[in-house]
Amino acid sequence: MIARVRAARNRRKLRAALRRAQPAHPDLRLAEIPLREVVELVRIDLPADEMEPLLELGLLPGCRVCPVQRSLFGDPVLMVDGSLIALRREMASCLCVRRMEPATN
Amino acid sequence: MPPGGRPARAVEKDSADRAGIALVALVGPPNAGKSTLFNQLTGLRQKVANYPGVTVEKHFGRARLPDNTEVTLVDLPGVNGFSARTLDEQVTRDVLEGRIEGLPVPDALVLIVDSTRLESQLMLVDPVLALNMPTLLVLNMSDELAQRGGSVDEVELAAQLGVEVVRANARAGVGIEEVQRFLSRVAHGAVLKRAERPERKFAAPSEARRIELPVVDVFVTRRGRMKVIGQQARFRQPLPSRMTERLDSVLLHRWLGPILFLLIGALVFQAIFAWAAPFMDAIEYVIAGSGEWLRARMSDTWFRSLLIDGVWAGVGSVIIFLPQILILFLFLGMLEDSGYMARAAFIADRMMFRVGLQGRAFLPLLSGYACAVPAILAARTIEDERDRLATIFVVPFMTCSARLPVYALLIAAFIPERALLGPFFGTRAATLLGLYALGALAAIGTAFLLKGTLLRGKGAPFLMELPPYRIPTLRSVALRLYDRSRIFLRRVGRIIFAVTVILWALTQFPRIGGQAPPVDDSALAAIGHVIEPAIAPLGFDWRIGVGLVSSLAAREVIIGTLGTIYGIEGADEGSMEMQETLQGALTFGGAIALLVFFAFALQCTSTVAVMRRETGGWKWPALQFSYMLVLAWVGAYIANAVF
Repeated sequence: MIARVRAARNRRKLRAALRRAQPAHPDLRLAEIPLREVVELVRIDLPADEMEPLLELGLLPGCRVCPVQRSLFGDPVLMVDGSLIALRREMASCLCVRRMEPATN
Repeated sequence: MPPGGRPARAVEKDSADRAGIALVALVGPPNAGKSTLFNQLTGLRQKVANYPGVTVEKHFGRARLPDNTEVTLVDLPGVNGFSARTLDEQVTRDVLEGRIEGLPVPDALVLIVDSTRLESQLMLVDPVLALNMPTLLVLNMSDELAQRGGSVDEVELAAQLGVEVVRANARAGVGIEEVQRFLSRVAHGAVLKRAERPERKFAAPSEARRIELPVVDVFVTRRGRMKVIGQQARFRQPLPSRMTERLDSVLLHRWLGPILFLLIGALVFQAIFAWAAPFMDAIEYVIAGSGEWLRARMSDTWFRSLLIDGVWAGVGSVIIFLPQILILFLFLGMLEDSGYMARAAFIADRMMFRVGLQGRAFLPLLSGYACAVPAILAARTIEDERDRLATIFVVPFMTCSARLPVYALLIAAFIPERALLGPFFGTRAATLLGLYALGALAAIGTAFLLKGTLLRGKGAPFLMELPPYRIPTLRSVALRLYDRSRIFLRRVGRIIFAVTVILWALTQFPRIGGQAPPVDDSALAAIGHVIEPAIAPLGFDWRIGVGLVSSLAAREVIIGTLGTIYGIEGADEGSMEMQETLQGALTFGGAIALLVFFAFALQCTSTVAVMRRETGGWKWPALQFSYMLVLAWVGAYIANAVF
């Protein structure tokens, strides 16, 4: 029991350390995904209060996101569950995504 | 308890007539068709007011039902959740919990969602149903759902959620009868507390997980639950809207998008000026003509002078802006209802973000070139309170059409026409353009300053749902125009009316032998002499000072006032006599100083009035007025010294 708690804590620490060491381990960000590619949202790197509007619009970990347009300045329009959501480039680079693996999906 | 079964809660005076009539709230996410349904149910029997202390509009209406009963409907602002992060969400939550003064807890809710996006819209359904109030769920746009190959089993959905569900197409009036039947059952007190909701498919999340990741966890759990409910109700997601895809591939195109955006902006701008002009001329003609007609039929008493020179002319100076306001709101309404407005805000966002504002500020600022009053009203679409305040603070720097006559007169009198760039662009046009630029620069600088000081904040993240394109309905646009013109005429008319009457009175006293005194001896001149020391460094004498004071009512009033002071009949901006007189009264430096003063100063009571209304107090209008006055004085001082 104690071992399991400890292991969980270590995993959390490791995750936090990885997050801090971002330049060394760059995650894939939504801002880097080409248009029309469907990806899965993994994590939102924003404080809770700034995250909430995204969550309310259905942009939450586990959902499928697809950038459908990008403005001259790189601000994307996303398709999420049949809704179009526009946001700023800066926010799009706070969204960590994972490429869908065709074999498993 | 009264017979209706509703607790006798505090009912405010103005809503006393509602006592005993059931109150039903319309809730839903933005762009789900809430207001369309509201308009269908209430027609013109609606009122717009502000919620106490905030600027969120309270839309109220009475729905008469086929069985001749009535219910009161409240159309709540569109929200995606109840986190109370925005004013809209806060107000919605307060209304639903009965925490608004004079508004009892609603007897029932009508929850309206866009059925083409059912799964994400169910995210709002969950917290609404958790309120455990009698609820009717309206699946709007069900025709579109079917057209695009989607489907949902509403009977199963009703069973899953434990509430009544109807399909509707509010725009075409489909499903309205079912909603009315629900409302009349509410009116008869026949809708009782909903039976216990069916067993939740998911166990409540454990406390431990909640502590670790509170926000995300709540939403992920809710999402999972709603997905299962969607599957049970056999919801099939429709194909993406072809029309929206096609239009967006042009309107949101990397290059074409911004170009079309500028073209649409130019069209609105052009319409406000060019299309409104004949109507404005007509109104001016009618007001002046009827004034003269009345004058000829009344004896020469102080009453005639008050009625025609004070009231009639004053009211006329307001009504003349009505065509511009109607055209502006016609465009804003169509852009909003069609779904383009959200895209325009997205395209403009990058540019406005640089300045410290956000995309939604673009249209209010553009409207400011016509008149600051509707522009400030148009800023309501900006959700973030800081951004909205910053926007309405800088709107009066945009060169409104009331400044134009003043600019035209002074430029004609003092700027000699010389060609600069061929025959089409001379010194006079350059001066006018320079004044427009001066206003825009002041707006940008002020926005920077505000966002760095008083309204500092990280700024709301720009995040916007782009609704599918829809053809605006005549009914909805017409209702909007009706609303806007009523607000404008009532609120602003009152202030202008009061100011013109006061100004008129100041020119009439002290009475000399029962007659109005010469202007030089009137109370107005006394005020002019009092402020003369303050404006002498700008190169203005007391007469210009009186003009400045009178132009507080409306900027262009200064022309008429100077005409009165110098005794020029029929003074307007084109009058040669007026120009010659001014050349004698002002130096070149003084004239430039006066132009700069008008570019910066908030010489407009209507704007101050609407600012007070829109910010809920005197703090912002007072600050804005003083700031702009200081800027105007300093700018005019520099101009007088340099030229």
